[in-house]
Amino acid sequence: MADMDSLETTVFDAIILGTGFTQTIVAAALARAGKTVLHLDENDYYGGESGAFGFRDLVKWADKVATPVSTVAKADSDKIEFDKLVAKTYNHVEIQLYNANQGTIIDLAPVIDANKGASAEDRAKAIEDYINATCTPTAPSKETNEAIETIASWAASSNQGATAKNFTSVSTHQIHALEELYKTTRKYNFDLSPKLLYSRGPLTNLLISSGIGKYLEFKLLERTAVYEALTDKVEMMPTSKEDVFVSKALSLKEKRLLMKFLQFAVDYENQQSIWEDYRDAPFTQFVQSAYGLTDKVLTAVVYAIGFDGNDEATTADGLKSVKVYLQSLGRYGNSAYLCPLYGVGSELAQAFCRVSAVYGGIYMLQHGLDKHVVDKAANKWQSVVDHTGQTLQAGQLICSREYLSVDMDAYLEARILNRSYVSHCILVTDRSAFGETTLCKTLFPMGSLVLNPGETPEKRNEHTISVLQMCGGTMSCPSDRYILYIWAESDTADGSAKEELTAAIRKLVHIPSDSRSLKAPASSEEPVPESTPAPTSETKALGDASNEDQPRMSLDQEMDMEQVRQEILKAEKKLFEEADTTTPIPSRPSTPGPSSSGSAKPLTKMFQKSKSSVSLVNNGSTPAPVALFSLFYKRTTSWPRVPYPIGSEKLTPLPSNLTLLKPMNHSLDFEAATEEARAVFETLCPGEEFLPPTPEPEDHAAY
Amino acid sequence: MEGRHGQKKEKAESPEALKAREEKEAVLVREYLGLKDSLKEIVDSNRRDNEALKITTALLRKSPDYYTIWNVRRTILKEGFLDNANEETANIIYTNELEFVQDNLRLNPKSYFMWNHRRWCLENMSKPRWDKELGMVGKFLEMDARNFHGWDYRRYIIRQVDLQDGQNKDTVLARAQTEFDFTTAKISQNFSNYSAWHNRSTLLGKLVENLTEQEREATVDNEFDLVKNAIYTDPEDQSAWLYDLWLIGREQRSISTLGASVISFNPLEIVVAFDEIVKLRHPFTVSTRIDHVAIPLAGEWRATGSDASLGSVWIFQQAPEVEYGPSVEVVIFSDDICAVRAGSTLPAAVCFELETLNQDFASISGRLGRLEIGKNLMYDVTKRIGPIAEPAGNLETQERSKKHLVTSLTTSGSMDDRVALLDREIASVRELVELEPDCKWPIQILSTLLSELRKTMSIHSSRAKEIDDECIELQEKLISIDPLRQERYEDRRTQLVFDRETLSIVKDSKRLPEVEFAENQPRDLDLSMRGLTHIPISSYFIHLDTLNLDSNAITSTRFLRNLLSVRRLNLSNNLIERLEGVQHAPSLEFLSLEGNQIAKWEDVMAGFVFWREGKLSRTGATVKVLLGLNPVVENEGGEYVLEKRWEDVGEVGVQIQWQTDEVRLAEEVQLRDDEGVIHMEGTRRVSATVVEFDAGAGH
Repeated sequence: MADMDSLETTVFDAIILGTGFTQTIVAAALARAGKTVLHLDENDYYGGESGAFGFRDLVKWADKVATPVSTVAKADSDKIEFDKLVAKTYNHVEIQLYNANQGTIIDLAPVIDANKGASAEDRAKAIEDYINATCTPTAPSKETNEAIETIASWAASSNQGATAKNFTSVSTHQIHALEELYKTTRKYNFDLSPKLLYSRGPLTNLLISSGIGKYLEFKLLERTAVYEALTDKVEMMPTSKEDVFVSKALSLKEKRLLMKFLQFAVDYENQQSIWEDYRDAPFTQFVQSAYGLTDKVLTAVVYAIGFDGNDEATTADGLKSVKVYLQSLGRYGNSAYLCPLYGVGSELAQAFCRVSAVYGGIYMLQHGLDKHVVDKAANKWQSVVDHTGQTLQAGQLICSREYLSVDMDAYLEARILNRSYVSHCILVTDRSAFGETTLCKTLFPMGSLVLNPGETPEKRNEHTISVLQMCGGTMSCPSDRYILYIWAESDTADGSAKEELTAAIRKLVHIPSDSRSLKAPASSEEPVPESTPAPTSETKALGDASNEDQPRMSLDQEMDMEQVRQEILKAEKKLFEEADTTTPIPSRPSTPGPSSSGSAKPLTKMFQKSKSSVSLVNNGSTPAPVALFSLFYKRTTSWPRVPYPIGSEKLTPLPSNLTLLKPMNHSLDFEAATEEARAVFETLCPGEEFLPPTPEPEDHAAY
Repeated sequence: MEGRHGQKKEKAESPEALKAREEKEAVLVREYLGLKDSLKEIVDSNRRDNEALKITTALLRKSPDYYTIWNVRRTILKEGFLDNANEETANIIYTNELEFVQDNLRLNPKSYFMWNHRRWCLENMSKPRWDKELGMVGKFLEMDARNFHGWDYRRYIIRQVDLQDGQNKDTVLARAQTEFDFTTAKISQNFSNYSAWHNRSTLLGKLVENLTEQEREATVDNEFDLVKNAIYTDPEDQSAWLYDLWLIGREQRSISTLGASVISFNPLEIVVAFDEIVKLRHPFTVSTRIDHVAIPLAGEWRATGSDASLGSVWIFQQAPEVEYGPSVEVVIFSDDICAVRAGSTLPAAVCFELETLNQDFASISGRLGRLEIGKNLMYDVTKRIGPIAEPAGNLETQERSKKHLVTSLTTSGSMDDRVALLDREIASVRELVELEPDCKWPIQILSTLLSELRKTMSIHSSRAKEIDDECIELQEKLISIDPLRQERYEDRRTQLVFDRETLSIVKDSKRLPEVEFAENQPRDLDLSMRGLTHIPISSYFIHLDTLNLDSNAITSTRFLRNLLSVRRLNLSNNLIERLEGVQHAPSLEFLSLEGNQIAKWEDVMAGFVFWREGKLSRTGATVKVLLGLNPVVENEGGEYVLEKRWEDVGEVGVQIQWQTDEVRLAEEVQLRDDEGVIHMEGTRRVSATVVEFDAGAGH
């Protein structure tokens, strides 16, 4: 290890700390422009706050950020306290396993009490022994033991945090559930900052133009739903021309008004006179007064299309994001969003790192850092010293906040006037919350949910809550499981992520022991498969179907004749075999099925067919998914909004050659981060081209 | 970045690369030409062996659209292999062929010849697997839902399977339903798909056959709902509008028999007028009653104008030396005529009873008698009248039901239902016009719907007038928003204006929407400055004495043939380039063609070329034609030609006379310089303001 950690060269054009999404783009761009780049990360994974984990690593990560870092009384001002700053970033971490009341229930309170004085480790050991003694698992597997161990450590966690409260007792059911998750840990890719790409947004265009997207695979987001408070329903929104056409929720006139608005939005820049007066007014106001889209449904549709994370979007913001959305529609199919496979942020981060490495960037993960060396007089950052004492120098330092020294962080902290956070929840369920639609996003508009039902004063969600459901098709979970990512902006550190997000979860999922959540599905007695991980044939079929309906695609698969031909090429070989099973050709006269008789019937069937295509979810026809596991956390995204706030003058400003990158925002897309990376690159390398296409030897061979 | 893109490509296409590519292509071309030569050998030598087949395979892989090779291949297969093969072997051969075609189809899914070759295989196979074919074409339509070859092939498969299942109606119907649902699915994915809508319309026709009136109505409502959703989503999409138009349907056009009159008693001449151009299939039956016995009257039917077999006005001339009684009957059976315009029929036989006792035309000598109205009695023939000639058709079947015939699904048989449907659709499309005032489709559909509605009401009702006015406005709106199709809208507008301005000439027939001549015909009609591009129904004008068409946009004077009574006609300031049909206007005395586009002298003369054949020569009238403000110039040879328009030369009267028995008019025209008739200025331009044709001198 020591060999690997020491470097031949210790002087670089740029040192980049942290493999967060923005850093990786900057790293790739700098390396591509011929700069020497050293890219370090204290973590043992790529992506930083956009990292993606299997189940085991997710639990590890959660435990780590939940554990308070033992504080050194007074650290040196140039020290890098990475773990401390990371832990400071994440709050209100809570893990929950559901169905605490099923199977044998083991009350842990006596053991916990008995070991109150002991260290957390000893207490955990005692609890673990107690569980093993009480339920004596038959033929315990490695994972059974791991599950019991984990639960014991949660129950014993010394800080008496929210997780510990969830484990004052444990059921065999919970143990089984956790065991199951451990067994399938590799099938999960949990995203810490779930996001999507616009099919024709800046990031996708960059991935294509630079050639980086070649190695990535995607699926199309199928639908967007919006929660409507009045009807208490989550409804699929018609967000494309085809959807509008088949939608039964919109009247004819509404369809026209909506399409007219969308037609305008595509070309809004050339029709300034229409929206000029509303430029800085709220987008919704413009939509309603200038375009007459006053109807609730229409407002919801425009919201579903134009919401990019900013609840205070002005007309200029809103039109911009509606335009990106509309431009993205149809590029790869009837959807505007791409969802990368195998976890969103980390895959993209790694793709950019790969380019950086190809152009000579040096990568070191899990590389501990000690301190920054700054020339105070010139206010220039000079080098960073790593845990081996090696001094690494560069002309430029690019990093995220966790890599700041104590001093630098204090300066930043002093400048932050408004705090901002993102509440996150990662929830594993046993079936899709949207029936056959498996890859889908849902928005709960601000103020649409009561966070504390039954209490006064009533609290409502102050920001839009976004929900993204991922399925096995995106390679982020097993095919019989679904992940719901729920997140929302938050203005205060006080409320827990759970308090802020549960109201939305209730509308989509059955939470055992939560009577306000959706009703349990009829067959919910055993929603968690027993230790044998054999998914029911029904759910498996569903998963498979989704895989087939939404083919994976790479970015060069735009909808054109070439793709069509390729598709035919692929489909061709199996065509004859498939034809037997897939074609609904009526039988020959020899087998006139009883169902096909009755000549007056067909048309009535037709009506039912066309009318049943109403795009409602949770209308009772599909059983509600059951929550199996959840992880809540609140991430700090606070950032100075004004350049020189009063009070910070006395502090030493950040070195002039240090570029500090913003925390990943809460929006649905990567566009802000992509733009930030571009801006950073253009400042550092003025006049250079930002990630030009990677030349490929095969390109020449083709001609 | 874009620029870089371009540069890179240029770099990639370096001179070496270009050369390499050209060399590669040259090899391909050589190979191809070599194969082509070998094919020629095969064809010449009548070889039908495996090697020959291989050459066609290689050629077709390179060029699947070379249809001759497909033909050669079939001949080789048939004569070299299939003729001597047992069923099993033949099936293997055909299956191989199917796979081969499929290989090629994926490269070129829109090649007629490959789809055709596939059909050939299947039709010759002993057990074609239609189900597999359907699966295959389904895949192709998945790749490109608008490939009409695919749709066509799909219908073909279904037809074949239906034929096999001919006995089993339910199976066939269920299949139609499946196909119908298939179109629904494709339309839901992208409704801008003519093929899918079209297939839907054909299937729907089949599916509704077995439905009750109520079910049918629900079906139609459902379809209207679907298509309206498409229209409101994208009003510029033509495919949805066309389906909408098909759903609305068009009331079948029927030919109106406007009326019949006696125009001469000796010999007996009868005129019959229709509201459109018809062709005579059997001469109309003319009979007379003498001593209560109806006897046929021999004679000849001719249309007006030079083409005597085609026209909207027909004249019967009695054979010489035949007596007729105090009344004459003319019977026109439905199948006696056929309309030139598709879809028009004469719904029932019509009989005119004409009084011939009181021969009122005192002074017919040399002039036509004035056409009078009210002397005939028109009624539907429901039974045979007397011993007249047996008609070709069966009278019973000609009996017209009172049904309102509409060519679409919406046939309910009831006029009220039709009106209700039209009212509903009009209200709906009006809403869209309001939302999309500058979109041409809803306006056109509104106009069509209104015209359909107008067919259900009396032409003299105030609602009909409102509709006409609105439709005219709609056409004007269309002209302004869609100038590319201006002429089409102007023609439609002309039709509408014409209908509105001729209300005094016609009245409702008892069979709506047909019309017939009103009892009291106007003598004069002023249609000046109406923007007319043509005269839609010139048979309306057979009774007119004076017609003013000043300042319109008329381009042809061929309608003159039907103006049997017109003496004075003003066609000044129109767009006429040739004077045609004057000789067929038997009563014409004065014609103004001032301010038109007549560019050549011959084009004036053209109107008189068949002088002697026309009515005019017989009656010996003099016609005065005003030709001022038309271009006329003397050419180098001293002949008078009409060239460029000019206005700066003063009026010069030219009197032209010629004898009717002189044939070559251009040569016979005598222009008498010494009378100062022709005025020459420094230029060679000359004006012929008045040309008086005296046709009577020779008689």
